[in-house]
Amino acid sequence: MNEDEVAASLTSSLQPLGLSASKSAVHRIKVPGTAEKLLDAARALDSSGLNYLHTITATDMPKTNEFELSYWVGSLEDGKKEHVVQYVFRIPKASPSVPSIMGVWPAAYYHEREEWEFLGITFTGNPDMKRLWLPEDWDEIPPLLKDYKLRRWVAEERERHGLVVRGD
Amino acid sequence: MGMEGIPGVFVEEHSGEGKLTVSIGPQHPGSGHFRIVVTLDGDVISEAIPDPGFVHRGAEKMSEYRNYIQNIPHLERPVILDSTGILFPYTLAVEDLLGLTDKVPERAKYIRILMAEFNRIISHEYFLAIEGIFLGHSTQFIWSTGDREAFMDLAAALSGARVTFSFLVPGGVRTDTPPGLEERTLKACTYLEQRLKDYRRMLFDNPFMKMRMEGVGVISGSDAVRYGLVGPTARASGVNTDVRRDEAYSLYDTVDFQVPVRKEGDDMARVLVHLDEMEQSCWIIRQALKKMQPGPVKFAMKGQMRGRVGEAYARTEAARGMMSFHIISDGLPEPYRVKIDTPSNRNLAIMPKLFKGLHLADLPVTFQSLDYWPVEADR
Repeated sequence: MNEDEVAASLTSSLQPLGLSASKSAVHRIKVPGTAEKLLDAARALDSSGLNYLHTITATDMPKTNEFELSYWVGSLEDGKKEHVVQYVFRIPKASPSVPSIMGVWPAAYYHEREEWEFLGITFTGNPDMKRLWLPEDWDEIPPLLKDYKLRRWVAEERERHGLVVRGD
Repeated sequence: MGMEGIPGVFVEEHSGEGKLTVSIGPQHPGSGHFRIVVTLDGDVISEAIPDPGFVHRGAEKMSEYRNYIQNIPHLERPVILDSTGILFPYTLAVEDLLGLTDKVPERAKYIRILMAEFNRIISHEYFLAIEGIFLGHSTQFIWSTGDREAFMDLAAALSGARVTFSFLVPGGVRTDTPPGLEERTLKACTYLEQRLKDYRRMLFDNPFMKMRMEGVGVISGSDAVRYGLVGPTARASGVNTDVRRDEAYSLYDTVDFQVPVRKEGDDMARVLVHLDEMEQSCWIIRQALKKMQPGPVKFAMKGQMRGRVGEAYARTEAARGMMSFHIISDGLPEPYRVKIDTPSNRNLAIMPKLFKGLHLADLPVTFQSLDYWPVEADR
């Protein structure tokens, strides 16, 4: 099946939720949605054969004061396995909370913990919203926020250790 | 420094229950820095909590501060053993953003296949070597480490480097093949195919190895899908997935190969899938060498590389499994957001479930059979 055929069949199963799928690139299908519809959409995708969660990307969008979340889901069925579906939505930074999809795809467990740690988005229903990659004593803001400036941090560390770098 | 300075438990006795909580790691004899906190009932693991993150470097954040070319050597660092594996999806995603996808010359695509398969063999041989250490089988370690050299020499002849090749660039590959590479490659493939037979005869048709690995650490096919496992780990549990075949990027559809799948899902199946894949890699290399025609190997770009405003998602089959990049660009020379999804990161999800019920003595072999590379998972 090509992208348009898969998108059409997904649109029919996502119809009750008021969502639709369309081709976004070669082998890529996009489903714009909302955080409220995430769980229902995940169940609908899962029952349409898209049961292979690849990853979750969360991005800080300071211009609009939002987070953008993309859930990339693949399939193992013939005709669908060459495509990847992106369920994408935005949430306001003021209330960064999203329902956990561990109940549908247990693979989400570490991806959700990671996005919580790197951006401060809470996934309600994930039992372990705690440190994963960062040091246990990390007390700064989540590092993938655009407010976290790497170069400033490097300069501060250099100063703290009294380092002089040639060329600065 | 005393134990009190390190968070978490070292050894803790549960009074009255006869259970013991032991921290294994973060230093390991072969796998890199990673810790598993296991609770033991006798010598059976009743709970296992993986504790990764000891080698997290913030590769995603750092790549937001480098342009698309500077990111090439930077992004290799998390996966030095399979540097082509991580650069392949990155290059494809960047080409999508720069509008170069249709401009990559055909010869460059075949050289990419060559390099990716060299790297797959190098990584799989390393896996077998470390599995040998964890099995207490030093012959396997010596053999695999030695045989790996043949392909490291080939990769060095192509790229000039032995480990971090930085060979794939947006628009093609860095250099054309040196004279005589085809002969050397065919010789190395013939050698490896013979050696794989030796491995099977000496190591895996061996009753002791069967006792150690058959039926140990079984992952069911449905778990492999639900937990999102990838690569040889998923294929050893009967999940028929391989991005090279499924998405057929970079002319992989013009070469003929099989995807080795086994049903058992145990340690032995995971090791044997690696052997089968090396055979298939040799077969792919032979075909790619035949199909390569003289021609340019790189599309020459002019001016600064700026991605279009938008996003790209590319995935490829690295040695350890599906590797994907989601790159968001806002039109600047540096990417706005880079999300790296590595196979080790995905295979981590099954560990608590897989290790529960194992004997402690089987833990190292089962852990290594997942081909988990902490640096790749931590990024």
